[in-house]
Amino acid sequence: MSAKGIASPVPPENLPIWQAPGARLRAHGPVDSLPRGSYSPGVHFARVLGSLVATAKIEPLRGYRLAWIEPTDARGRPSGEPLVAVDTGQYGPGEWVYFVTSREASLPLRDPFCAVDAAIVGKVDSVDLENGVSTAGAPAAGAA
Amino acid sequence: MILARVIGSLTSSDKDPELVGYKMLVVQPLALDDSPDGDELIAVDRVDAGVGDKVLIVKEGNAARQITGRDKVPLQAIVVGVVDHVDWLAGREPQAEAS
Repeated sequence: MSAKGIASPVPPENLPIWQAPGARLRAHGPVDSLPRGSYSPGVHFARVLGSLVATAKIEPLRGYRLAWIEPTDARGRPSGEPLVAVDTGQYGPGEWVYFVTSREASLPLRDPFCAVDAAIVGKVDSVDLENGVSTAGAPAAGAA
Repeated sequence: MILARVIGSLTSSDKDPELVGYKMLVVQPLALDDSPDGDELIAVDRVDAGVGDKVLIVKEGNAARQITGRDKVPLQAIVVGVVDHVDWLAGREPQAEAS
């Protein structure tokens, strides 16, 4: 555990677990420990990088486009490792979208028990953040 | 469930039909000391929360399906409450992470 910088689950003395030396204050589990390409449950922002062609696919995936997406934060800055997601709309490269993972990813498909773990479910028109920051459409690739 | 702060709203006209009609918020998950913890999420609002509010978020798909009443809603985050205040045992308040 300590090799990954995650605090020991046993706090010394009578300290609560979040005050143990080196403990990171996490309200909901160490997301660092998820395998690469995994995302914690939730709806996340991403930018479409490109598409992926797989001729031989399992039957429930036939007819669906696969897209390379790169997770971003709410300002459109890259925030994680790219992954492949099922594209249930027609979202082209450069578009700013949002995706869901795990069980919910298969719900938009014909077969709601299809074996997928990420799906794009919508396109971002604009995001209005507090302090007046507003981002419309697809942020430019590599935007700071 | 997690604590988060609403930091903005999202406009999206082109989305999965099951998501049509819901107000979507951009929320920042919070650690115990109210510092930002992790990436921003998109969550559907069911309690009329506004920007700046501290809210309670359910991050689970089955809960989302029950709350919306839609069996096939591809959604994993829902705002289910606005937090008025959080109480801590005296002397056990979480302190900010030393940087």
